[in-house]
Amino acid sequence: MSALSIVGAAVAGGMLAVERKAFLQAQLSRPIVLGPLIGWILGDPLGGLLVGAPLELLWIAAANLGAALPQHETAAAAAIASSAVAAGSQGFGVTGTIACLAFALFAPVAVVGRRLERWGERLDERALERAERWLAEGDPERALREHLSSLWRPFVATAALVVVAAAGGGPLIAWIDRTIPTGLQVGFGVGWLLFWAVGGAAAVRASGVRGRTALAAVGLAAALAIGWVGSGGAAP
Amino acid sequence: MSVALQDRGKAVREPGARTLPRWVRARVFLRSLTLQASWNHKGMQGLGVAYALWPALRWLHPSREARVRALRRHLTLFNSHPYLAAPILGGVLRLEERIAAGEEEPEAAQRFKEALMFPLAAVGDSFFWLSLRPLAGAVAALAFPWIGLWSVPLFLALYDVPHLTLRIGMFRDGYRLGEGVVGRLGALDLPRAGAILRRALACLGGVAIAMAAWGASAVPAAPWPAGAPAVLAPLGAALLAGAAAFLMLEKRGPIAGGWLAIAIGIASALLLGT
Repeated sequence: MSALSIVGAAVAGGMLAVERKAFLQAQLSRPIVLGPLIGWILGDPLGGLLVGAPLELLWIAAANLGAALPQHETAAAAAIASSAVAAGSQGFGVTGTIACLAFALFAPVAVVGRRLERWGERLDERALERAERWLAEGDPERALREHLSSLWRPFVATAALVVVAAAGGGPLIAWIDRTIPTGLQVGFGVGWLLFWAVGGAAAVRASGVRGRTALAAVGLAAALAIGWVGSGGAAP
Repeated sequence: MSVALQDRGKAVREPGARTLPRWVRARVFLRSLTLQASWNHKGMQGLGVAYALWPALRWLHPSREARVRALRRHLTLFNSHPYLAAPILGGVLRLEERIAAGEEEPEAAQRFKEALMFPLAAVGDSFFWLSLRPLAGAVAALAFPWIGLWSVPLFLALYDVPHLTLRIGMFRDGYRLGEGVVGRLGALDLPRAGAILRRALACLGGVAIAMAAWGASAVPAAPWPAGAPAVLAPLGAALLAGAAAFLMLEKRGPIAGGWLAIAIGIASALLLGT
């Protein structure tokens, strides 16, 4: 993995962090898009998707409703995906164990990201006050420039995070992966698959509809039946 | 020529007023994509609205004083869903044309925004953030084992085709129909569509739990014991993880849910003696 690819991933991560709220909001910043994109830049798009898909389910309810801020799923997914792909590049690709370790190391970024976003909103309040002053002085162009004055913040924060995660977190995770006992590796591997179950629960909860657990039970039973028939009666 | 505002969504041409050229309207739409760039608790998206409308205000008001007055009218509190702000901005453009022509009082644009921003925020949040996006994400994530990287374009197609169609179309309709755009939005019945999508989402949640069980049963050197009850072990672990997460997610959040999955995975490995 070259320094150039890490810089490329950092730029992509930063741009997607801007896209998340400040521009377009076409959901390019969601983990299922961001993961494979960063993975592709770092040399393993499928590894990025292996990380991004369960994270998409896990943060499925993350929505910016009014003044309420969700956890910063974009920053966390960028750090987790870049560190996992970087760790995977030192061995045989991204595994469930590597993905779990990357999650354990970088998931708290989602909470830190939310705090930084809140702090940014306070700074934008001052930008609005400056804009009002410029307008009162009869300078509308300068007033409106304040609107875009804070775009650099999510860009720089997320880009820096990706560099730290890929260059520092990746080798650390690869080292931990090599040193932990086999039993723990298997446990992490199973744990990563159970992310789908937790993500499923997040989806059921996010649906918010009456009878959601019954609907989930129908989905579960149908999927098990189709899978059982499709596999010729194999487990589970 | 301009278009008068009518309740039933039909446009009627009126002679005598200036209309905004298409390129100015396009600039307003493109600038509206940054609506939330300076979101804050005081004015919320107010500065974003002023920023988006500026090319139109500059075109409609030749004198600098009139432009500044017009901009000041829009540098006020505004908060709506970023996509459904598009029909509001389209309608404001139509009103601003009439205000500049002296056919409407300057307060009309503000009244229009205030009347629509909160109802449309509720509709947009419910449909886009809480229904369409989660469903598109769930479909794409669950399709990943079968279609690999194609799940990314699948997600974007499921989400962004409706998103961009509505956002662009509603901006155009807002300008064309003014207040009549409310009728057009009502005809789409987004709340009902959202409720249907959320039911599908709940079903897919169950599918995700089944997929966790299938995946866990196939882990090489997995801890599941052999024999008849063994086939139920990965399913039990997935159900345990899903049920525990369902109970704790609201209070503890997604990160705690992830750690729960890891903990159950490790406990399975240790308890079942790998």
